[in-house]
Amino acid sequence: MKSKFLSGLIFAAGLVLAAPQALHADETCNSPFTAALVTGQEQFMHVWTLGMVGVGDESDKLVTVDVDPKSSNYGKVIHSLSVGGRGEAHHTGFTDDRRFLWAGRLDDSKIIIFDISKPAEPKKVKVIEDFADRTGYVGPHTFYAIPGRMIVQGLSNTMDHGGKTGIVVYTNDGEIVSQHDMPGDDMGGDAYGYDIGINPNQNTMLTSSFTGWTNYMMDFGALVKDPVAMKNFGNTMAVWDFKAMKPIKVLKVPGAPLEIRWSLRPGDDWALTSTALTSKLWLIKKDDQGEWQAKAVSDIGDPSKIPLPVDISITANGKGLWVNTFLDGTTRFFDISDIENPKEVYSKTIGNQVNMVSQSWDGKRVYFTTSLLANWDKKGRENDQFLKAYDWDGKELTEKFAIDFVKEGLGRAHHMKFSAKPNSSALGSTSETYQSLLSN
Amino acid sequence: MKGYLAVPNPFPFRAGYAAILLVLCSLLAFQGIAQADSAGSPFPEPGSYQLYRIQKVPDAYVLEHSSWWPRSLSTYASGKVTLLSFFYATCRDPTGCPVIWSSFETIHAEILDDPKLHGKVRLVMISLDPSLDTPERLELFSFARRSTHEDAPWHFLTTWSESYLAPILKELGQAAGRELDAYGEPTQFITHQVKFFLIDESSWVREIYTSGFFSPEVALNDIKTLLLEEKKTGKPD
Repeated sequence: MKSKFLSGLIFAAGLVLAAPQALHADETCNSPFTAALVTGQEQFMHVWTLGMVGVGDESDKLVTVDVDPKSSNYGKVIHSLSVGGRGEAHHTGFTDDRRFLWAGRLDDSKIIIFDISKPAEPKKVKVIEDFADRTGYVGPHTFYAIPGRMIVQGLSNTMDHGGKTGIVVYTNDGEIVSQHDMPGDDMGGDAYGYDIGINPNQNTMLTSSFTGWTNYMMDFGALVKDPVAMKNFGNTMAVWDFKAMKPIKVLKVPGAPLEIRWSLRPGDDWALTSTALTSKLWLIKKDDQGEWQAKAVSDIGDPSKIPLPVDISITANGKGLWVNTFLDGTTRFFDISDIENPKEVYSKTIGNQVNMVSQSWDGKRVYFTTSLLANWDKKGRENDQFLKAYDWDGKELTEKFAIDFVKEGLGRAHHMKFSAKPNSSALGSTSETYQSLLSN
Repeated sequence: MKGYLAVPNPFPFRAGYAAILLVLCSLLAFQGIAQADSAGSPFPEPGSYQLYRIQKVPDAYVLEHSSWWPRSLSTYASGKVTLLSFFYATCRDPTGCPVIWSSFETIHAEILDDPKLHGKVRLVMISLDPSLDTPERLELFSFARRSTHEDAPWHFLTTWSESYLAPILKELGQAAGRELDAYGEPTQFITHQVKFFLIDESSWVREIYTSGFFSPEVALNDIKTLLLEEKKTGKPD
């Protein structure tokens, strides 16, 4: 009995010690299962970039930028890896061991896997071409690491290119483990999908909902004038039993809820999302009866002007939130210390349009890119395409560098991920070197 | 052989116990944080969910008891439900091997406490440092658990060298490497992801856990789920 108690005690202590790595997740927006946290200065930024007609080789590509201020290449593109064609490059996600970066294309449903063990020189190691054929889903959007596997959230389907879709679980080698339809009518859901957020301690997975291929590939100007098309957006979030991979509840969140951010502060069990069409922040939290509920807690800008909130990024301490609004090119910082009453405390125009935002773990550096979807980006001179890096002192963003992705012949800058040089060499890979070291 | 390899640690488990002690001390400092969810477990009951086949355990040679008798890894990953992890005896990272040790100890005790699990669940730990963790040294760990071997077998495996270990790590997706010094050269210190692999009777990996979110309660639920599944499919008890 004593030994069992001791074991339990030791285990609990182990968990406590292991907790910081887990609870603090990654650079604030990755899966909590992602290893090798970049808690210090990020060294490289990988930008999944859409090919653009008349720009460079016109192909989708993974662009790597040196973001280490101590480097002579600071703020410069140091590597560009074209993957061929334009398939609506969109989001990316690390595998749990952070060795591979999965990147998706929403139009042709290809998934490209890059080896980033040498982060200054990513290599393309695999292309999954049969996502749609094998699953019936279209538009691999979110790539969310779980141990040894990658969860991929689709946006659409092969039957009607509408918003009904599902989730596919792959091994890290790219083999399908399982697939799961989004909750539909029987649960009061719309069966749409967009982002994934997992709270492992609560065994809870949240999903959000956007729109299908027909809409996200349509010209934005035409889309907003099409009342039928405008009805085809998600209005729900789903709560899943993560272990069982089963939806257990549908939450009404009207207006296309997009990115999901769980608070990373230990003890917090709530998440935020923003709705693109209704321009609100929504809080997902358990009520006094232990039931997950969603409620709108703040407007984002002036909803009547439809600023189109897009990416959001939560600070590691769960007290601040960056919110980008695409159409006015503005980033907004919300004080979310009182999560029931978020307050916008700062805003800055980044460009004619702004989509993605990524912040360093300490929140002192913030990066922005511009492209939303090829056919939704602004046209002509308003079509800014850049990566901009800023320092944030808690009061003001100070620009450090900007890279014009059109002038550089790259394309439309979309999703960003940080990386750093590894501090170890894989066992076995350097055994000869090691043996040599030992015998000297 | 010279240097580090020529002067092996004669007490390979001292460092492991030292790390456990460190963990215990840390518990005193952090005990207020380690509280169970007052609303009860959010995890489903055993048998009420499905664990999907993730991947097969790779073919590889491993060593137990003797360097002269290589065995197939599948010997240790079939016929019973198996919980497998990687460790090394001189590990100093309190968030690494001590977490694995304590988790295994808890699960081992739970198996011994539940007659329904006797003889149906196997624990396997594979060394990440074959140069130091020879079969003979690991025998010390096995010997200490000899009396419980029939009800709750616990195996300590190693390999001939890192070259034999590397394919197992690669196939299972277990990240592990030697820390680099200031000149980018590998040192004797090994960093590794803490991962646990739950394997069914047919050598399929059915669940993978990482340290921060590993719970013996959940692992035991999953073990029971696999055993219930095997019962349903008519496999022998």
